[in-house]
Amino acid sequence: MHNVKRQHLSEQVKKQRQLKDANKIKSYKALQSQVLQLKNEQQYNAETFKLSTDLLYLNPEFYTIWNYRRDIISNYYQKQLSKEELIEFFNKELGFIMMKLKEYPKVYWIWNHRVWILENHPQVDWEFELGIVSKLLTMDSRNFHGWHYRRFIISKLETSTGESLALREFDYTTEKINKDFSNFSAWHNRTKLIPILLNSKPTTRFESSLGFLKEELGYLKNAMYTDPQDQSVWIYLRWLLTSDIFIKTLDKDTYIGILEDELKNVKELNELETEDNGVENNWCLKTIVTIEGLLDKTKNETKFTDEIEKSLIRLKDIDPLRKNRYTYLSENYFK
Amino acid sequence: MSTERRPSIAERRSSTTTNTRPQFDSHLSTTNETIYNDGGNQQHGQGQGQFSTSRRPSVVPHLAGLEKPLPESIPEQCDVVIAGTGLVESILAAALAWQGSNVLHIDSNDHYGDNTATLTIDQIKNWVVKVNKNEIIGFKNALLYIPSGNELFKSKDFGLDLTPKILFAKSDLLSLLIKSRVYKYLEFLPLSSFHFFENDNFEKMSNTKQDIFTNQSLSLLTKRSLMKFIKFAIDWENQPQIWESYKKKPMEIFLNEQFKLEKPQIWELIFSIGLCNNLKINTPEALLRIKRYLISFDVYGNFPVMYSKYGGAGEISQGFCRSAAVAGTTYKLNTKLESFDPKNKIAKFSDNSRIRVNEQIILSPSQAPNNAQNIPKQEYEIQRLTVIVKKTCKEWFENGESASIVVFPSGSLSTNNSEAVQALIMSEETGITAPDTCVWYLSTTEKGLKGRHDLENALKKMENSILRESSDLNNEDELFDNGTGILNSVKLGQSFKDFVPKEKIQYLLKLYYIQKTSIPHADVVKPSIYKKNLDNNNNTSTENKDAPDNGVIYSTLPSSEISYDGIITAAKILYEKIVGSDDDFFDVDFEDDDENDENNGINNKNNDELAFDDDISETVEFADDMEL
Amino acid sequence: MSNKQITPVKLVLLGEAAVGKSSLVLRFVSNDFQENKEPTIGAAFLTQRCIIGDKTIKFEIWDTAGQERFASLAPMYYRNAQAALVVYDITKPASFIKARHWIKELHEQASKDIIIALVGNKLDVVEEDESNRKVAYEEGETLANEEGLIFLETSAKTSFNVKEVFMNIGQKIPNPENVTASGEQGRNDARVDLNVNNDSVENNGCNC
Repeated sequence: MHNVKRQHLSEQVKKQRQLKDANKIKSYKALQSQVLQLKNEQQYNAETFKLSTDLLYLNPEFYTIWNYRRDIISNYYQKQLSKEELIEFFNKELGFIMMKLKEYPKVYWIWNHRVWILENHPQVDWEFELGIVSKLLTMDSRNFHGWHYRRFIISKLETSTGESLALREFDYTTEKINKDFSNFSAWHNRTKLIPILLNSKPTTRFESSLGFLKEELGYLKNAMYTDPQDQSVWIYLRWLLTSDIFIKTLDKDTYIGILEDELKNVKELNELETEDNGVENNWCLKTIVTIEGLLDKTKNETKFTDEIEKSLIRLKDIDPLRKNRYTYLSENYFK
Repeated sequence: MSTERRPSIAERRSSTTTNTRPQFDSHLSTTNETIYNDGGNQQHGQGQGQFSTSRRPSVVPHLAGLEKPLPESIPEQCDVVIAGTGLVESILAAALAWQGSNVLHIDSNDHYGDNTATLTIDQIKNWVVKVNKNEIIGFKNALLYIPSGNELFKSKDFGLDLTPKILFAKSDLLSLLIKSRVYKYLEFLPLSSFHFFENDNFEKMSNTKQDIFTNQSLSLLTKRSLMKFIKFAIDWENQPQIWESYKKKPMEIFLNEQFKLEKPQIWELIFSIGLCNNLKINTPEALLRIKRYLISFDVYGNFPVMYSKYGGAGEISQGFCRSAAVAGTTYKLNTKLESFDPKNKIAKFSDNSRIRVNEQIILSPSQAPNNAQNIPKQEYEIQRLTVIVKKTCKEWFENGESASIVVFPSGSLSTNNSEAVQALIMSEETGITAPDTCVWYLSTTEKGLKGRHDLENALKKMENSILRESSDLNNEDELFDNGTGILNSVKLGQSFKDFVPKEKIQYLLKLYYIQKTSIPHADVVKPSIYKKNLDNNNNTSTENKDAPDNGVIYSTLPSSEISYDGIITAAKILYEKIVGSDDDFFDVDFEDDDENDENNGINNKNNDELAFDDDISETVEFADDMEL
Repeated sequence: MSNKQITPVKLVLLGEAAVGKSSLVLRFVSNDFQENKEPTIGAAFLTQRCIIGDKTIKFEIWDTAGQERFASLAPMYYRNAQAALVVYDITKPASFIKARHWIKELHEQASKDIIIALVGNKLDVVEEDESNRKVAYEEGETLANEEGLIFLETSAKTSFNVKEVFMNIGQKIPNPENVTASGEQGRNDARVDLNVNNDSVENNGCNC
């Protein structure tokens, strides 16, 4: 009864959408040149502010316009408005930024703008900001901007209360790493927190840097075995083995012992990998080279020179993308 | 009535694709015949849409039909008759309707869903009687036990699925639900608890990177092997060098030899993640099944599986029927096909009405006319035991969830079962059962009496487990006052071998039956099996003289599969048989709804891939001179 | 834009054929009832938003799609319907009888607290010539009072009283409860939101 043909609409729809898009592009271009013109004329008023909003709606990555927007705020609103009015204005601006961040959580300029607004805002609710960034990191635990912003908020909170949040933040990174350890940002945050905690020793866990290091290496071993290809783990391992916070607090023999244990450990894993895949794991091999170099350097020996040279040759094979890097290293290493 | 031959669907299809021949003349003349009686058609104008470009190509729902009285009798002719409103048939009806075919969709029952229906208690009672009178093809040996004393509950408080199913978050049915907008008629709930039963314990699985990384009981080597396998399984098709030599060998061997995995992990992978029926499953089939689980994680959240609220396949088939109706399909329940005459293409129905079928008549075996001669053989069996217990069973659910899966692998039961028993547990929040009660759907592919014993044994284990877990600690105190010292172990995963339940579980209903199908158990996720089935079943159809079902195409009865895998494939193969190709199966471009301007909270799933690149900028600072 | 919660309301249409169910709805969704809000025409149902007092309601209007023709409406149709429009034609007594039938059906099938509006349509025809009226206003009113329904006579043609029907329903819709601080509704927390378009998310959705 309904012989209404509904299929094969795609072509028509496509054409209409193209037409629509063409119109959009046209009006966008007009708006863009208008705003840039006004910027050059240094027009700072409610009207130009509104136009910058419109343009940023369409293109939130246009950092020039964010800059212009800040110029308008400091040259117009911050001069015109009373403190109460300014608080209201800034809150509204925070709402606008939040809306944009929800859509574009990876655009640096929006985060940057938020930080600027908070720095200029006469009355910030930092706990609220922390809540926002926690929510964002729940949605996407690897968003680098989110982690960066989090550190900014934490430092503001610490300044305002005079209390360190390092331990809480350390636990937060553990929670995120447990969820997904393939997370550079979380491991990185850990490297920033560990020196603070080993200095302030808020709990027994941080009493001795050796005890902490051993515990951390055990934790990391889990991750290495779970996913030997995950580079964030290897990079963190290198940080643990080379960071001053450990090297300068451990006596030489203890440090050498740690290095030797890790060398054995990584070599074992590399053997397993080779057995299974028919080829060495390049992260294992790179780490082996690093540890051997560290051992030689610490002991002031050249015991591993040959082995390192051989490893670098093998690395050229299994990681041809960085061939030149390895060549450079082997040439310079033995100078 | 015009006797002019209407172009077949296949012909119309090609004409619209190439858009050259004005084939529509005859088509339109048919439309204008009084039997169509659809003035509203012109109003929306898409019938002529081929030639007009000015019209907004929107999809207009079926409001037009309400403007004019609809005739109280069925039309004189249609393109396709579909008998049976099971899930496959309902999807087919909707696909054909949106393609532009006139469909008459009937069902001999007074409700939707046919062999995949969701039934109230009263409907179950009637159904059992019919099954035992051999009036329902596809089911047999039904046993129903409803103790008295539960008069407080209403029949309508319950909706039991004849073929309970779960939906993988990454699956063809889910894509179709979204594309067709049928999901808007439904509500979906998440399911992430997969337990499996071993050594009299219920184990919780470690199947995500998070679980594996944080699980203290796994050795480093096991962690590595498991992760390695999981990474492989996600892209196994592209790595034949790893599995090709195991093509005809059981998965168990493959996992052991290629990934050095041991029994607990192998069983978990095969039975829980893969939801396989036994250990005989071949490597590629098992890999297919494991992959669907793995890729379904994190598509909509931290769970691989969903299910529709208020009932599974029965509810989803209603959704597709509504979609078909919106596209113009005529619905008539309580109507059975009496006969079909393939020569003049007239179908007769139980209410003495008749219709000319221009194209095909699709018949579910469960809707076959009396004395049908060509019904395909249903040689495989699934045994089902469905119970409603007076328990919330919340101990079995993840936080915030309302359903879980328990698998009893081969050999885990006292009956030394060779086929697995799978159980789907659904609480009141799933909308299928009364407050403070829970439905347990158990099934096995084991044959005969043994299968029934397996089901009963599994039920017993579940009974003991839930009694133990839901009893409070004070009672435990008395029970274990014999020095065994497991006071604090009242947790899932602890042995309850010695547990003596002091209360008995109360049942509101116990239902046992055998379901039959022509689809082999293990092959269900392979598309080819449906095609083979259709070909086998339908080439004999004209040989029986004067059979009332000559010239019809039989659809397949539901398989043993606990997921919806295979459903779309089955519908597409029938569609292809009618239309000539499945290229335009649901090729409909619906207008976007206004959901976009609603704030759905922070949603950056689509940006996930970028995370890595961004982080690298920080790595420089962090890695510093560490980078080789 | 306000941060207000949008309350979705499922509304089902019932009534004899040709009483003007769809005309009423089309009039409602396409009228300049709400400025710059185009009706959304999708495959599933019609939607129309309106602001009533301090709440924003999104009506999801389900038509019978012809499935009532052979008494084949699925349980899904009534499920979770918060409002129903039972329409009859004031020039056709039979349609009023049918309306009683639908009200009875709603009491049996739908949820207890469903808001039902009884609507006598085609007032324009009666206004042209009073002798066309076959169902007295009082009859409808009495039925509505007995059953506790909203009652209005409308003309889809002139749009008289059309928006009032929906406004009256909207006013009776309870305010969304359990609005948490984050603005999320407590009730449907567990539901999987398939509106989040994941079509573009490729197979990398796994946990590895």
